Amino acid sequence: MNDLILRAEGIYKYFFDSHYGKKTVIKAVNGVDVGVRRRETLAIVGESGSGKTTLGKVLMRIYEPTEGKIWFEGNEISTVNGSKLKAYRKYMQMVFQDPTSSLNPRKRIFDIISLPLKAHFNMSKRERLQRVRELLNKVDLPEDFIYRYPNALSGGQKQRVGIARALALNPKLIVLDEPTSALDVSVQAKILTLLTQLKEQFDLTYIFISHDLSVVKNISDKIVVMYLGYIMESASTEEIFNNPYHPYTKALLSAIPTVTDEERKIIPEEITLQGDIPSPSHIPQGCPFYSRCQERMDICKIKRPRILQIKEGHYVRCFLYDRNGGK
Amino acid sequence: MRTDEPILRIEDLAVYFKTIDGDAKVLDGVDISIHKGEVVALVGETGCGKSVTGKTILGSLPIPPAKIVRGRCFFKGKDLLSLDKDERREIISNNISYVPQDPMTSLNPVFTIGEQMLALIRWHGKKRAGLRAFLGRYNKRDDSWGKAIELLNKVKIPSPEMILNRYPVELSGGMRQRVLIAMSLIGNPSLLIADEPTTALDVTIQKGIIELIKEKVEEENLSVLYITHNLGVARKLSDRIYVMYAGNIVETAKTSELLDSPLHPYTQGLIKSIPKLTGEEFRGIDGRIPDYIYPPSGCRFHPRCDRAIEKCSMEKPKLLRIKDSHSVACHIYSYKEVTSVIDERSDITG
Amino acid sequence: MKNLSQTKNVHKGNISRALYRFTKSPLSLIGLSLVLMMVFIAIFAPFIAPYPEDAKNAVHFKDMFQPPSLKHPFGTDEVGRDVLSRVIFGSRISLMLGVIVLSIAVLIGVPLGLLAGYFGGIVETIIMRLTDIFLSIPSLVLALAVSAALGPNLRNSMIAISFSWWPWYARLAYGETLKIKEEEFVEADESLGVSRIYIALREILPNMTSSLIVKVSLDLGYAILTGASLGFLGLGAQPPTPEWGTLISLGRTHLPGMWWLSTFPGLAIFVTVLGFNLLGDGLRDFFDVEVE
Repeated sequence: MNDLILRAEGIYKYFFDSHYGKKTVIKAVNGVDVGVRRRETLAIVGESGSGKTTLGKVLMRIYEPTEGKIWFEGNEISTVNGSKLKAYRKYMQMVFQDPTSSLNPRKRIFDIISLPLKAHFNMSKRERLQRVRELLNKVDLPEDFIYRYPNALSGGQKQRVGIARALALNPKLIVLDEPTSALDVSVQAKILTLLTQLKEQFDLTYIFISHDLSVVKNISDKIVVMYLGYIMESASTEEIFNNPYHPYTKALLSAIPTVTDEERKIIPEEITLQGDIPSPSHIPQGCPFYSRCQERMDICKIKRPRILQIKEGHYVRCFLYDRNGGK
Repeated sequence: MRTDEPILRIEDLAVYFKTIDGDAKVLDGVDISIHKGEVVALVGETGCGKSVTGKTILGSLPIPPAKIVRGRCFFKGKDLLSLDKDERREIISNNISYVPQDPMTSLNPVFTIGEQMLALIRWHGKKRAGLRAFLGRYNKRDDSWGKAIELLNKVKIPSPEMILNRYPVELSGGMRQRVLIAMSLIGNPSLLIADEPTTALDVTIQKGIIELIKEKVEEENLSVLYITHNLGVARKLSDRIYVMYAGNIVETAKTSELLDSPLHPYTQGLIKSIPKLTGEEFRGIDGRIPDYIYPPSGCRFHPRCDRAIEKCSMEKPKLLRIKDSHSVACHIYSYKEVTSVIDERSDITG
Repeated sequence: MKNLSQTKNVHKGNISRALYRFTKSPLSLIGLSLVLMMVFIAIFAPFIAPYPEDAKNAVHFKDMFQPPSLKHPFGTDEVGRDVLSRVIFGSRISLMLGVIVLSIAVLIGVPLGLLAGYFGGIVETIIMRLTDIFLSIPSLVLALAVSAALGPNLRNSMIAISFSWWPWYARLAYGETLKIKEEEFVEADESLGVSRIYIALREILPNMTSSLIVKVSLDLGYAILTGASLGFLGLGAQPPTPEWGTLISLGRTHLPGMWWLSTFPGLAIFVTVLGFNLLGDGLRDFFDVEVE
């Protein structure tokens, strides 16, 4: 347990919206417990609206949790603010989904990567130049990119700049929010390889947010499956792919568009989900997945299932495996 | 193998775009043919010209800046590109329909689904376009209401009456895409061009849409040109795949043949790039898509190709038939080597 | 990593690309030349004007009310001053008025809008409701009221116009900030621990400069027009200052006989406003390209 670099308990995140006089509460994250081991890659997977990005941003303390506690290396950071929070920012960094939108188009690559250095350290311009060059090398970009503007770069190169910026402060943990979903596959492969190398080189811990299970299978050690802000299942990557329990996990796996025959054999038999993910402002009363579940029972409509450990390290939230939970 | 004339046959199509730096040679000799009842996937990465190909067929390219430099596009034996505007529009609107990528921007947000569907049904019925058809309020005695419900039933939308009275924003992305597929079926088209219709959707929703398209193809005996960047989607849906790189078709074959034993170095690289569930090693392709104004000489892929030979930078390779329906445009498969290459195939994919 | 830096620099840069687009549009070129001409005239007025002393209190009664001729191309006024010279000197006043008014408007409006947009909450409510109140009064009426209250002179008319002008900039900056705030780089900066003031001033502000420049160039014409309106109503610059609105107002009493007294200052206003408008439209295209 001491090896957990980041731990979160009972995380809730609600957004309050009061447009057109109607007040709505968007319940993006609903009571999530999660722990990340040092040097491990934890993947958070789910569809759009599952709350995975919100959870990532809460763990990063970009958002303040509505409820719940977060510990980073044993220190509680869920409510710290100001200069104390700034100190933790050094250890936790984020790489964003859209490489174009995450770089200021009016700034040169040098200014973009050296901004965190400027914010945290009292470094001379020469030192910063030196450091930015070093970082560009680490992410396999030529040094002469230093004076270019982002719009002169390709999508993959922009994402490399984003990674270099995240590395600038020598963080211990990086939250990667769909870092390759905006890229072509040939570029995605390069970025994923780079991320794997950097992890080794700098002893990093990753939280990898993604909707692409093929990517997750190849990069993560542990997977958390989310639906409507709830964790539905969590286990090691092996376990999730070999012994998925939750009907939602099975459906997700079966929907992976596979390319080769060998892959086809790995995923479970055909399941096609009907309907859409409900809105996070109107979460069903019982099991959040009830409306689309193929194995639903009467109890699922009335009562919300609890998350249960089925075997060592494998947690599932489903009445199919919790016969007593309904009583 | 079919021996009949393909429903759509594109020959040596070249489309340039005028820019201030010179002409961007976006399509440079594209050959595609689609047979009746066949689902053909056009696969390529961002900026390879796959959408431009679709738009050229539909006649929706903005000309200028685009210009069609050469090539022909036969639809049921008639060259669409040589017809005059009205004739072409007539043929396209009666036979070819389109499913766009973004279901939100393709539906008018200020009209209900019903109003938009009925306008289209009436337009196809009376062939009278314009304000009247569009502004005409629906009345339920008209049989077009029934037709709209029938169409929505076809695309498996639950409670279609309710959906008809909704506005596009009130529907989810998957639902909107189903509505658009229903609308594309209105004129009983024989060819459907779908431009990444599932890219914006979640995988579980995508799966449903793919199955729907598959089913409609069989029911309505449709031919489909399915434009996508996702080889997995192409595998699920298509009978045949065209791989496009930088405005050229580099390889085509039956879907399983192409994915299991690709020949072109680019196709091989593309498949190698995809992370697999089997956990085998994946690696990308170095470099980036070339500049279209000053494209590389010879084969446009040669600067990124690790098997390039001298000839590649000098001469543009032609699409050569290697085997049955498998053709590839690459100098390493010249006539003499063809047989040996097929024997070696297992090493290439391994 | 072969070919990674392969991007050839054969393309024209953004600036020259934008310039190309700009020069392809004859209207924006006309706008630019009109504006440059006005600026040139304003700067070199003492050298261009045939009778520089006529801009002030000179009196040549023997030349009064001369119609346009070679000696006086725009004619002379009721005390024999050369109208051309007075119109030329008037350009100094009008341009200065436009520049000063808009500088004040930008300096007040933009920081307020930025603050409201970026920080939100109570700050936003106070600033934007205040802006709304100002916007609800027609700007000319507001300027008239302020100018009348402060007393009619050039300086006060500039204050009055600025007073009615800044809310537009607060609004523009507010809207732009809300848009830019959604970009991921702002979130990235926050997660890096960069201070919020720095983000507002150094990250967000530079991204709205193009919209600001376009609006300023369009507004310069209107500000000059408003200044002339105040002058015409007697609430701006006072005679004998050769302000265009004041000149029209004075000439009005001699219409229609002495038509040249009002017509030429009027044309000067027309040309200047037109110039800034065309230039503003051209600049909009110019920046559109750069953003692409």
